[in-house]
Amino acid sequence: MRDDPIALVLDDLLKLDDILACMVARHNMISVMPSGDGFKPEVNKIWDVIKRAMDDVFIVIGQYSGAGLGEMEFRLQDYEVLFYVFPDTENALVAIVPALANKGLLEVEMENARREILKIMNSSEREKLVATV
Amino acid sequence: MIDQKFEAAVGMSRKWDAREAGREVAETAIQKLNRPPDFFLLFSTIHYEKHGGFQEFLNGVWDVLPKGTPLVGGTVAGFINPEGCYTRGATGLAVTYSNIKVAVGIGRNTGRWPKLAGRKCAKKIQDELKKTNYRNLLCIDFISGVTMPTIPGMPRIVVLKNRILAQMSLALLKISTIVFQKGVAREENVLKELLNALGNNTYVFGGSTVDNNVFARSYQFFNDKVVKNSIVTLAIATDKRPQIRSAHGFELTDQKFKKIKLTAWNRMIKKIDGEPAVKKYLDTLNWSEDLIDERTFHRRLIFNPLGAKDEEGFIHPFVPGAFLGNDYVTGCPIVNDEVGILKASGLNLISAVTQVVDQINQNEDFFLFTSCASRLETLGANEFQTQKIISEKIKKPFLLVYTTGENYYLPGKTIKNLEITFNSLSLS
Repeated sequence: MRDDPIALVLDDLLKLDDILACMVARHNMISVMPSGDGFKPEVNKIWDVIKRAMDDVFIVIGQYSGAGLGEMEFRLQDYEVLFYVFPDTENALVAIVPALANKGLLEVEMENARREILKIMNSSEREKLVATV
Repeated sequence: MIDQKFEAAVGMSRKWDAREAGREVAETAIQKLNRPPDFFLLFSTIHYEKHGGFQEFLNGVWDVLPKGTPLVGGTVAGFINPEGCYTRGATGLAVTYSNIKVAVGIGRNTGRWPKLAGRKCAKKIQDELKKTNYRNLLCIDFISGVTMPTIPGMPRIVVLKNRILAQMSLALLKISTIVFQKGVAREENVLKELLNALGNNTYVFGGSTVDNNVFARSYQFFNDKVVKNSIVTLAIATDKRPQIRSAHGFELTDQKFKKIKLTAWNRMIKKIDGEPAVKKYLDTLNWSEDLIDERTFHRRLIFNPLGAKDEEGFIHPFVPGAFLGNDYVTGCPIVNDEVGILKASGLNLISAVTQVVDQINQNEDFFLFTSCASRLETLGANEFQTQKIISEKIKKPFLLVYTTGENYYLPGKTIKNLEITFNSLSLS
């Protein structure tokens, strides 16, 4: 995990005070998590229910990502979960933030992280292609 | 015709460590210049406060920046430059030009003694620029912005529904502003004195420093010092003419009021047409009070703020910064008794960018933009569109900073203390 460039992007995101957890995930699967100590402790108390709700959202993402679904979010108790979908995939960058967080400012850094991760994904795809050829 | 002697460069860092970020922001800017910079504008988000501190951040800048380079700046909610749009990191704009004379000024205690701060800031500039023959004087200012009371465990207070607590907070606001310099920023008093001293042929362009929109604190940078509650100004005497443009995208609706009762340095509306301000405002919009809470406050209300025309016919939006009981609190001074409801959409806010950028001529240089942190909060990742619009039009280095209040002055006009606007400064 420590050498995974996507995990490093998530590490950066998690350093922001209001990002309580972040990951690259898809339905029923967390693909990449931050490389450090994991999520911030306050997420633990609500993680089970959030995880279930997330999985339901990923069904929608899977159905509409190809149609251009870019972002989704839901509010559960005192938290909001933001989904930044990777275009034409069933994967999304997910962040859990407090409901009272300054979401506009966080959205900018979520978008920067999505762009960075996409760049990493595209370059590793290219590398795979070169290796195959 | 572009003057070959004029060079501008933008630097940036996304490093977390304050000192390393300081070094990188200076390095990435000045390495693009062919000569040492004549001045350096430096901005950072609030994050370095917890990652080494702002003095270390500045120390990092001075590890690289040539000694004696005039430097001003401060903390901002975010920034846009040719590389992207960011709400974390540091950025800077370095300029070198042969026909320029630069001075920096500082005035302290802007909350407590705003007029004195303005005068002191001007004095230092006057002393340094008295022997210049350049016809244009431009002051780029950054003033400590508005701060709000906070309660531990709560991000900020924007909606205080408890009337008794609200009454107390009103009483405490003036004391807090003057004694602790927490509260209203009083930029207009600072700038009036600055202009009185420097003369009304001076151009002024700037904004108010802020944190990550929590409105708890902000910092200003002045050469190698980190300061608070101050105005820092970079004065440029030059043969180039400053060009300042502004837009916001709001228009007045038919819903107008005849009279308002103001307090707290004209930033708090207590009554609208004899009725409690917040109630009258929400009733006019046909909105229930229950719709407004901490979470939705800015995103719901920003599109329908109160506003008024100034004596030049310019519409000033007064976006609610807080509802304290029934009092409507806004970030900049209300310029006219006859306020009305404004309207705009997200598209209108973005169109303000196009409106400003379309007026810019290709032969202009030095592009500094200011925009409101509340726009950033409202538009969020849609601000990448702003970056795209500017990048497509301006093929030179540029920098946009998100402040908590924007200001400018054009000779012969009135000082504009604004919010929720988009503004550009360039030299032609």
